[in-house]
Order: sequence, then C-alpha cells, then structure tokens
Amino acid sequence: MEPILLRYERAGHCPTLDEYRADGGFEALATALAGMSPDAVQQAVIDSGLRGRGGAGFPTGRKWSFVPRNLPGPRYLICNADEMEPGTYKDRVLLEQNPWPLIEGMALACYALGVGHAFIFIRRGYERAAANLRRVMAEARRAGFLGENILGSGFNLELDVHQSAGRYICGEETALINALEGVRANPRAKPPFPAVKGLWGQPTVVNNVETLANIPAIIARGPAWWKALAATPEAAGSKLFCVSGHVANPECFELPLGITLGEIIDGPCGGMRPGSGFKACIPGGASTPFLTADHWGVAMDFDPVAKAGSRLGTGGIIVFDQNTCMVGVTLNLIRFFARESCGWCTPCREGLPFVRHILEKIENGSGNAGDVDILREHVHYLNYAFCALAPGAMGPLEGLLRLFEDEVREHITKGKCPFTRL
Amino acid sequence: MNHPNEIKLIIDDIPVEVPEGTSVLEAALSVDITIPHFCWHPALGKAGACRVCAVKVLEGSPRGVQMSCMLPAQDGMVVSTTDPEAVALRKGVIEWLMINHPHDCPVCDEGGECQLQDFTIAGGHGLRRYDGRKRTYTNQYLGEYIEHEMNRCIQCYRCARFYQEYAGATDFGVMGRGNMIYFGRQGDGPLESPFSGNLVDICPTGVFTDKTARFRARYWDYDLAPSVCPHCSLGCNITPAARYRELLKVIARRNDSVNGWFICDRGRFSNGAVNAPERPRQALADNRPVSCDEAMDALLERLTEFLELNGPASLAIVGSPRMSLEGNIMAARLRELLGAGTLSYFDDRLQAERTMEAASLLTTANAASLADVRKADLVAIMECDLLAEAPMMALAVRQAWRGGARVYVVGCDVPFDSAQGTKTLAERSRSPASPTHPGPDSVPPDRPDAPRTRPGAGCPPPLPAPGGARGWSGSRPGVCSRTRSHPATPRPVRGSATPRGQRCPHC
Ligand SMILES: Cc1cc2nc3c(=O)[nH]c(=O)nc-3n(C[C@H](O)[C@H](O)[C@H](O)COP(=O)(O)O)c2cc1C
Ligand code: SF4
Ligand code: SF4
Ligand code: FES
Repeated sequence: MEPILLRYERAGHCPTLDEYRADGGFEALATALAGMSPDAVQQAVIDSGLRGRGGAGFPTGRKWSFVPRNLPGPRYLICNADEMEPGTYKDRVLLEQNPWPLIEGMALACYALGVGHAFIFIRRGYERAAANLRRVMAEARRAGFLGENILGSGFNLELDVHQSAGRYICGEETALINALEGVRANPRAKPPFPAVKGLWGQPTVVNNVETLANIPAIIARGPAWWKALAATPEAAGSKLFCVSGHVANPECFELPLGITLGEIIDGPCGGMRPGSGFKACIPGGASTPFLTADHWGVAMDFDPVAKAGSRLGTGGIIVFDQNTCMVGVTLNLIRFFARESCGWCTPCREGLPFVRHILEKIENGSGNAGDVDILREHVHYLNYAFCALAPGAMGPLEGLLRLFEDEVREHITKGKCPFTRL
Repeated sequence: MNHPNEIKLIIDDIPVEVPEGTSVLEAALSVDITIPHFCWHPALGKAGACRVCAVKVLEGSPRGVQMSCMLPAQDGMVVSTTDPEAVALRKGVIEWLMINHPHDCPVCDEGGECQLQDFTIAGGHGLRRYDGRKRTYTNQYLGEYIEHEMNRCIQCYRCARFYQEYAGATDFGVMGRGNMIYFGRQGDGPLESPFSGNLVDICPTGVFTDKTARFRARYWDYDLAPSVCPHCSLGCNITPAARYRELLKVIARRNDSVNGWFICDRGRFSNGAVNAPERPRQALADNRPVSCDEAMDALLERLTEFLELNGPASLAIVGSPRMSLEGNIMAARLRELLGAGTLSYFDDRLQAERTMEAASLLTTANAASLADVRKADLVAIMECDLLAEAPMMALAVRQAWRGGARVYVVGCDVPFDSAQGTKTLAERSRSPASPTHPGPDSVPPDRPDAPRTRPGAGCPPPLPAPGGARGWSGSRPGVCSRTRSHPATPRPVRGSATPRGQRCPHC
C-alpha cells in the first residue's frame, strides 16, 4: 500500500505548503467548499467506515451525526493530540513530519459540522510538534486555507493550538474539555456526551489527530477508494502502527488496517532483534491486554483484535521477547496509571495503588497465593470507575492473569522473579 | 392521582413514587432506604466520585450494577440495594477508602458522628488485606476555628465543591492528582470564606472539626435542642450543642425554606457570650438565691402591687428588635394579660416608624423566603451590604446567580468590590458559553482603574467578592464589616489566652 499520511519519506523533513499542494493538498477542501454540502461531507465520512484512531474506535461519521444541528450558539471541534498513552507516538510523527492533512481534515470536519472555532489540544512535551503546527497554520492562514472566507466560499474557521499542562487524563475527552476551559482536568459525567454538551456547554466533537488527518483522502479520492486501502473487506483505510520493543526496526509505519500481527513484525519491523524470540506484545497502547504468539495471525483491526481478547486501541505496539518478565511489564504500566489517575473516583485512586503494591510484592518475591485473587477482584471492580482510565489500566493486568498466570504463580512459589534483570 | 411526570419504580420490593429527575438514591431515601453515599449531598448534588452508592438495576435501563446517585429514576424500574454484586462492590469501595484512613476512631473528634464510621460498620468491612504503608499528609493551619486533619480524608470532594462552587470562595480547594490529592489552601492561613464553618458539618469524616469545641464531648454526650440563630434577622435554623450547661458548639440545622443545610460563620462561631461567667445563672429575689418558680411568684407579686398602686396605664412592657420573635410575641401577650399601657420594641421613634413602613410593604404575595431567593431569576439588592447584614442571604443570591439569575446592585452603601463582583456575575450569566472568559487578572473594560479581580477561570466568581475596605476578607470569620476595627469575639479555644467573648455592640 502506498502511504497516504506518511508519504514524505525524508525523516526530519516537514513538507512546505507548495510541496503538499503539488501532491494534491487542499484539493479536497476546495472540492468540498465549491461543490459539496456539509451533509455530503459527513456522508462520505460515514460511507468510508472511518473509525476513531484515538483508542476507542468509534465510527467517526456516527459521532458527528450526534451533534444537534438546531441548537443556538456555536459548536466546536477539538483535535486530541494529547497522546500520553505509553507506547503510542504516531500522532507525534504525523505532527512533526506531515501536519498538513490534519489542518485540511480539520477544515473539512468543521465545514461538515458547522464549526467556526476549532482547537488542537497538544501534549505538553510535544514542543517540536507544537512549533511545527503553529508554523504550518500560519502558512495555511496566509494562503487563505484558514481564517475568514476560506477560498472565497464564505466559510470561516479559527484554529487555535492549546498546549496541555501535561497529564495523561487530559487525553480523556471530557477531562480535556475541562482542561481547555481552565478548570481541573477531571472527567465529566456522561451523558450528556460532548457531542451534545461539551466545551462551554456547547456541542463539541473530539477527534484524534490521525482520525482527522484521514479525512482529506476520503473526500479527495472517495470513500470507497479509501475503505479499500485496508487488508480485509471488513476493515477500512490505512492505520499508523507505531512499534517499540524488541523488534529489529521499531518505527512508525502506515499499513493497511487488517494486516496481521505477524505481517507487521516480520515485515516492516524486520522481525525480532537478533537473539530475541517473540513472547507477547501490547497491540494498541498501554491500556490493551497482551497478545501472544497464538495471535500471530490475528488481523489488526478493531473487531478481530477484540475477539482475540484485546483491543486495537491506538495501534501502539510494544513487543516483548522471551526474556521479559510479564509481571515486571505489568507493574511498570500500573505504576504509570496509578500515578496518572486524576484522583476523582475511589476505584481508580485507591485501587490502582493497591494493585501496584501487590504487583511489587509479587515481583519482589514476597507475594502470596491470595494476592492473585485480590488482583482478579480489581480487574472486575475497576470497571465501576468514573471514566475509562481505570478499566483501561486493568487491560494489561487482565491479560497477565489470563495468559501468564503460571508466570505470576512462579514468582510466588519461587519467592523471587524467575527472570534475570538486564 | 398520578401527576403526569411522576415516576413509579420499585426499590427492594417497595413501590416508590418520585418526580421526574429524581435520582434512584434520592428515591430510596424518600422511603427511608439508606444507600451509602459520600460524595452526593442534598445541597451539592451528585458527583459520581466515591462509587459507594452502588445498586443493581434488575429491570429498566441501564441494567446491572449502577451508581444510584447518577441514575435518574425511571418508570417501571426495579432496583435492588441488597443484591450481592452491589453489596460486594460497596464493600470493596469501603476497603479502598480504609486503606489509608487512620484506624484510630477513639482519638478522633469526629467519632460517633462520622459517616465513614457508620458506613464502614454497616458495610461489614472488618478485615484489612492491604499490608503496605499508609499515605500521610501534613496538615494546615486554617485559622482559629477549624482544625485540619488531612489523613482522615476520603476524597469525596464535598468540601471543595461547597467552598468553591456553592460558596464562591477561592482560597481553598483540591490540589494534586492520583491518591495524593490534597484538600487545603496554597499555604497555612485562616479560611477566607464567611461560610467556612460548614466544612465541619459537610465533611463526612474528621478532616474538619470545630476547633473551639474539639475533644470536649462525644456526640451522644451533647444536650441538643432545635433553635434559631440570634445573630441577624434571617432566622437560620441551628442546633446548639451543650454539655454540663456549657454551650460547646453550634451546628447548622436543616430547614429547606430558610437556610437549607448551611449557616454562616457568625452564627456558628460567635457565641462566646452565652457562656460568659458574668451571666446570671441563679435566680435571685431581693438578692437571695431562689428557685425559678419562686422568682416568678415574686415577680407576679410585685407587678400586682405595682398595678394596684399606679394603675395599668403606668406599666410599660419593653421588647427589642434584637430579641427573638417568640420573645417579642410573649411580650405582647404579657401586655394583654396585664393590660399594660405601653408596649415598645424600639428606643427610637424614627426607627420604629421606618420598620413599620418597611413591614407594611411586605405582603404574602411579595415576601420571599430564602428558598425563593435561591430559585429567583432576578435579584435586586438595594442599599445593602448583604455579606455584612445577612450573610446567608448573600449565599442564597449566589445560588440564584448559579441558576442563571440576573443580579443587580442598587445604591451607594455597597462596597465597591461587592458591586464589581456582582456586575461580573451578571455579565457572565448573560453569555455563559462565551469562550472569552475573563482571564486571570482581567480588568473590567469600563473601569481600567478598578482593582484587578481574579475570577476563578471556569467557575463562577465569588459573590460579592470579598476584599476592599468593607468586605469580610481580612476580618476574621464571624464578624461583620462594622466590627472591623474591633477584634472578633469567638468562643475561646480551651486553654488559650483569648479573653472571654462579648456580644458585638454594633447592631
Ligand atoms: C484516560 C484516557 C486517555 C486518553 N488519551 C487520549 C489521547 O491521548 N489521544 C486521543 O486521541 N484520545 C485519547 N483518549 C480517547 C478520547 O477520550 C477520545 O475517545 C478520542 O479522542 C476520540 O477520538 P476518535 O473518535 O477520533 O478516536 C483517551 C481516553 C482515556 C479514557
Ligand atoms: S477512573 Fe476515576 S480517578 Fe481514574 S482518571 Fe477516571 S475519573 Fe479519575
Ligand atoms: S476533606 Fe472531608 S469533605 Fe473534603 S474531600 Fe476529604 S473527606 Fe471529603
Ligand atoms: S454517592 Fe454516588 S458516587 Fe458518591
């Protein structure tokens, strides 16, 4: 498959506006503004089968259709570029190497949704990406692709970049909205969903960077063409997979959605590192349960990965070899989640440190058999947290107990970690 | 007859009828089924934070284990509060909360009146499985009235929600993240809100306790009696708590049509005079200690003598605007009984006339209770510094404003900052969705020389903003602006050298 988003291969180079336009850039926007109704743009997105790339995989066109069209007052679009999920760095690559489709995609989305003011909420640490975005946006504004009366169509769009104060929870869409409003980044109760009552109480769509960046291609080349980029008839479009861990070539690749796990690792990743054998991986960012060698042939698409007991999530793949202690891996992730809990609800705020404590005991060799039951209880009860952070945090723990219970028990019976730490 | 938007549901086999919009938790409470709850509070509403109010929905949607405070009651719903799954989750939540909570109820001043204690015992959590270290915090000095013990906090957010959202002050709130969140101020210092004492009542554990009464009694030791606050004319309901004939503290008493759940700090903390040693505690007749009955008999005897000698026309009965309504009514009754010639409530004719004039303007149609004010859609404040004259009225106006009311301030006897704060309120309530919130340090456009206000971004600015020459800020809680130049007169902390309090002489 020829890459759509990552088609400018020179690393560290971000194309200029002229380069992007020479490649057909902003033609989708021109086409839409000249000849398509907002509803037609939305319909194209629905037809394309595009599902959110921010983790949950919610159909993008459906999300847009929840926005009430007849309410007075403004509507907003927010691009979620918070990307703090461990193992996920695809949005950064996109923002640094080719932010143009995002700008164009946001303009298209705003046209479809009737939005006049949109925001890009970007992770604190992404200084370079934010600087790049600001530069590119200024260029787009000078060329008339942002601001007032875009391309003479009468459509106006203000676009602002907001740099997060920097916490994982700011990526959760309602906490993000609170952060943008300037209050504590605690999630809000749903319903009402942001599409109905979001930023400053107005209908708001929150979409991931990659989701929005896919829209120009859908409009320019048609939803059917875009959908067919995928590797299976059920999947739709291409996907950024950002790989890390014990593979020979850990990088961010744009691949057809629905490609198998084995094909990704043996193909662009160049197989495992010398001396490493595949033991397991996290398929889509830190909050997704592990896949093992048994899942080598699983199509990397939302539904098949869910059927395999995990989630496609963000497409951030972390690969572990045979020398990796899975208790240690899980503990490392739980430490992150416990630290990043916003502190609003009891299961997450108190439950995660409890889990962390028990995993620390097991990893240090002082665990006991009853601890496994306590961990299992937490996997169940953290589902009753206020937002999706805590259930997500239980992803790797659930995988650990389902796939690697023997390894956990070995820690307990041996009274130490059976792996040598490197 | 069934009201059109009356909802019928079944909770634990009991049919319940509630108005639309009621949560399952409130519906259960309405038929005396107590579902444990920490973050939900009738005056603050739902937060969904503590997760201890789990129930199971057997019929209706969404099914399964749900948080009852967040769940609107729906027609035909069947709910169980005793389902094993819900009970297990509630027990789990208590276990989590008790991971870090100190296990020292016997030395906690809240013991016996602690919601956490009650729900922990009720939930059957007895065995500790967490064997790690507990989280500990450093406490803050929050002034002379309220003690801070953060280790006891269960992070229900009630205090921060009351203090910032309900009462509109900004010097106290929540900081940090994860399981190290902290409820306090940026640094040590007296709480600035004139309603800070409500933290004592509202905290479900022993984080905030009344410093002036700490460790003097357990709840069951108190002599409690329903009463009305004597400090202004609003008549907020209170429960004075006494032991061994000494008033130890004052607790807010719920009255939905007057003060709701709260009282101001003046009402709570300025009661030192009650215990003043100079107050007569023994009835005397002719300087001879007698019983109350004997004293009353002696009084009647003297009055009868006086009436016989001089005639009823020469007897005057004197009430006072500072006396309770009941007392003043009794004064009128006494005048009738004795046929006294004069009944007077005022020492100044002009004041009497003005009061009569004002009272005559009140009709049953236009008189508004504090509950009405809280729900008003327009409030005009005439020539009045609400925070100084009737603090709970200011709090009621703030609730109206939070509900979208417009607030106007008329007159010159209004602290500039109060007017400023109110004006910002009105502007903001006109366009709550405006993306251009006044940023930090914003200056009202029409007053470039105005002092910089700092409305908490995203949350309503305080009403009326304290500070300036006449507000409450800078003074200690419980003191109105007229008392500014005089020290506040709290009940002394035991063992402290503060002189015994006296009543404010200013009004
Ligand atoms: C704890 C938490 C963190 C999240 N972080 C991100 C993030 O960094 N970036 C992102 O796009 N979505 C994140 N999400 C998902 C968003 O809430 C939201 O679903 C997403 O931005 C929607 O975009 P999409 O429909 O385009 O996928 C997070 C969700 C949770 C619960
Ligand atoms: S699960 Fe609860 S504590 Fe954790 S991040 Fe969400 S709201 Fe905050
Ligand atoms: S201090 Fe009290 S009221 Fe505030 S969060 Fe803690 S337990 Fe709740
Ligand atoms: S009372 Fe329902 S979640 Fe706290």
